[in-house]
Amino acid sequence: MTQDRASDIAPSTRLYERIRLDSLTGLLPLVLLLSVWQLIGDPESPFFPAPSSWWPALFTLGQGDKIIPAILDTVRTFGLGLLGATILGVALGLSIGVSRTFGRAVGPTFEFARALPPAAIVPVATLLLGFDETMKIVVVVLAALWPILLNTSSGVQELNPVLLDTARSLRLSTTRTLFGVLLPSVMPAIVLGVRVATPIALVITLLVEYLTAVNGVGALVGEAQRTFQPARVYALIAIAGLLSLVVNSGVRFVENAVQRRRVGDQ
Amino acid sequence: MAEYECLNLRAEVGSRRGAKRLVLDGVSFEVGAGEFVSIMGRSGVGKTTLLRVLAGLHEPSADSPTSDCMVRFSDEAVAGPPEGVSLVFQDYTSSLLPWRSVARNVELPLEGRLSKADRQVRVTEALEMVGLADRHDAQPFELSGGMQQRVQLARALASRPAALLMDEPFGALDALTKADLEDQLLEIFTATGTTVVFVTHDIEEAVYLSDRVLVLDGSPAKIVAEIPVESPRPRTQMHTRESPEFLRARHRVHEVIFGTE
Repeated sequence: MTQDRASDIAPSTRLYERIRLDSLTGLLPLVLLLSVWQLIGDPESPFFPAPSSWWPALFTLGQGDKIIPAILDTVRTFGLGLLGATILGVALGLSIGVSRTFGRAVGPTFEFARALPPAAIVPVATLLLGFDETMKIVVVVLAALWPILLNTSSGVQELNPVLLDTARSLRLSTTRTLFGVLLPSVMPAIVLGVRVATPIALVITLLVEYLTAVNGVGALVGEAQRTFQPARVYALIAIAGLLSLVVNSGVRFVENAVQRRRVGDQ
Repeated sequence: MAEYECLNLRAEVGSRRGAKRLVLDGVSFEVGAGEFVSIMGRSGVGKTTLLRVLAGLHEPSADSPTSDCMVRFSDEAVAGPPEGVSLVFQDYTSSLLPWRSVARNVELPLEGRLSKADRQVRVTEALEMVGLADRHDAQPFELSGGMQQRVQLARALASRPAALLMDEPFGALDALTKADLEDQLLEIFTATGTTVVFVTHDIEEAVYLSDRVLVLDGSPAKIVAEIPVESPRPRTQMHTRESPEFLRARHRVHEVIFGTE
């Protein structure tokens, strides 16, 4: 028991230290770039306004009130889109992994849909769904779905047959086999798929907002660009970058937790 | 009374390309209730397929309509995994659920069938039988191979099966652990009166554990010999393995498998 407890404490300290060190060294090039930009940049440049002018640009002309709601809009579209992509991707991935017939039936359609650039879906989506949040979410789901779907289905196909034989021979119900054995077994593959899908979802969220001007940080970027406010564009891009940093470390944390739960911290 | 009856069993195994290979043909035998029977044979002969048929995981194939191919467990034809039969796999790592604790793994077959209190009783009972009562809360990856195989055995016992099917359960373990587990299995066998069908390719192990050894050979394979082991129970590693009955049976199995040289 005492041994267990000791090994519980040690990894979490190590994890904490690792994250702190990583993020410090990882930010170094960015800090360097911005400092150089600030020092040798031309303060009058319409293309490369100095970083010190970005923050104030967010609040000029009474536009300050728009920032927080825009960030919340973007986060919501991204979150719901990723959630939808995860649910749909896991459901379809499991079906394809379990039933070879289903996999063969939908395979070509999925290959076709997967190759469509999200930017090409946007006009169709606005036509069918209009300029609203549902449209944004649908586009994000269609773009972020694939890595999750493919990882889940190959995760199921790579499962050791002994595991499925075990479930059958213990005469577990279909529901219990699915949710108690199959799903937890492919969880690492699913989480990996979600990790790959996360930046895609965020990029597509911003892209759709930029293209359709429907709410969010992306829409503000488009607006700032059209009204010749380069400093504001950079400021908004910096916000998007920070958002992606936060989201990615969140996903990595979840992935570590899932991994640690089954093999410990070896 | 016969627990398992197998008459003129035929079984095919499909290859990756879809071609089917006849593995078993005309396999007939009976296993009595409370009997310990081993199935021996060279690797690839179809021992595992036979056990999977008994476990209801592999369907026998009746080619001709007049075929009298039949597998019955306690007087009922086997179609799908029968109630009262537990299967123990060689590959314990893939069979245990790595995210569940030892106790929760053993509990798995009881969930949705028994109340929580009854499940606790069964789990404790099964873990005590395999000598793992103190590792209740451990995760499988914290245990040695032998211990993990014990967990699998406990899970098989938790449903208090009438018959225990074991597919080379100790094949991946070192010699000392193997001897330990053999003795533990014999204790459980005596204490519970469970019927055991045990697949192995270790002649000594088959003879040491069993009342009868069936030898599977040929392609397609059938039972080519049935060797009774008359060593008295309880058996012990030292004395049984030196007894004339043990040596005689071992000699016989050798003879059947390798021929008289």
